Amino acid sequence: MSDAGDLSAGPAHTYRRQLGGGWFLRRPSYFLYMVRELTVVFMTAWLLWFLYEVWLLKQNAFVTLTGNYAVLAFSTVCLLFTLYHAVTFLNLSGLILRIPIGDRFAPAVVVKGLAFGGLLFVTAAGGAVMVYLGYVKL
Amino acid sequence: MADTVEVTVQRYNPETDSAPRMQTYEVPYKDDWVVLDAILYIKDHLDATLSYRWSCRMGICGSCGMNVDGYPKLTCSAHLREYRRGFTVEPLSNFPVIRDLVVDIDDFMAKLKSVKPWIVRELEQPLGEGEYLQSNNQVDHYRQFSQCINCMLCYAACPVYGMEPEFLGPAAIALARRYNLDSRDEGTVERVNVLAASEGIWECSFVGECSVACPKGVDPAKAIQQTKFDTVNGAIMSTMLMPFGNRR
Repeated sequence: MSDAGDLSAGPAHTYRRQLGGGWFLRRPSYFLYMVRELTVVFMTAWLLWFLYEVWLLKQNAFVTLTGNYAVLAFSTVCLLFTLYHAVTFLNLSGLILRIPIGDRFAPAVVVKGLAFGGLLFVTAAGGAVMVYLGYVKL
Repeated sequence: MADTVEVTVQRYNPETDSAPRMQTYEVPYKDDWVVLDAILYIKDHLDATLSYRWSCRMGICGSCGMNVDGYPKLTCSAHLREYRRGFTVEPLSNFPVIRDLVVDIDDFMAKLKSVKPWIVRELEQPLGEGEYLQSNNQVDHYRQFSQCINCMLCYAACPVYGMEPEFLGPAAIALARRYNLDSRDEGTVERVNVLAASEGIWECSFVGECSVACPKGVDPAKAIQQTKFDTVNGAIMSTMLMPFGNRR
């Protein structure tokens, strides 16, 4: 037994095991859960970077770093974590959202399909607008 | 020589031990045995001092939950043939150990009671008016959550409960959900204060292992996330959309 623990006083005289700091390494599912939680750090980091660039723009001191390999690598890593977060989140939509159809509910797979379809649609629409406005050249 | 399997069991005697210790036994291997049979054999033939809970031996009573090789299992449903190379049996994680494989379930029982897992009616109709009828579709809404046998495997699988013992926990919330979805029940408002408290649904960060551990196919993680959604939805309807909302 690897858990640390202590004897608690009291009439029951029970032994309470502590979870310990490395609990998430005990099972692959626990580890993946922690990775999912960690994605937020990367998403937040990228948003802070984005806000910093916006602030630079406002100060008329904007120097684009989009061609910088370090920024490119950072953005790629953040994008991967964001996609992982989005996929795990949208995978749950069918589980959580209950869309009533008469006295029944829409099947989970339909709700999930709508959620992923919505993500793809919004991404494509956003991309199309940027191409149309000339921010992105194909 | 008869075929055997090595079973390592966690022992703890509160009168003599300051911490649990492991003890290994050699048990006959039989293809049709379950882990509980091996534990019963130890008790009957090798060491009568071993303490554990069991009752029905058919996955109904929920008494024989233990950690087998680190995973919470009903030992009456865990076949020995899946652990042919030997295995470890420990008490369910996240609960105080009273003795050997017996854990203290008082905390769980108190939490279960706090969500009122029974049909609450504002006014009981007289018996003469007959039963409260339901359609099959209405039963389908809560059927899955009604399969819970209170075995507490979901609590043992939940690291949130391990770190925050005040967390209401998966089974209690799943059972609250079961009654909230029941067309005969009118107790949703009475349960919401317990469910929506900081130790309730919001403590869950969706590890999802409760649903994996459940031996009856209940999905407590789903119950918790749906309750979160309904609670927020209900709060918006009853506060922001007044007077058109459903304030009670």
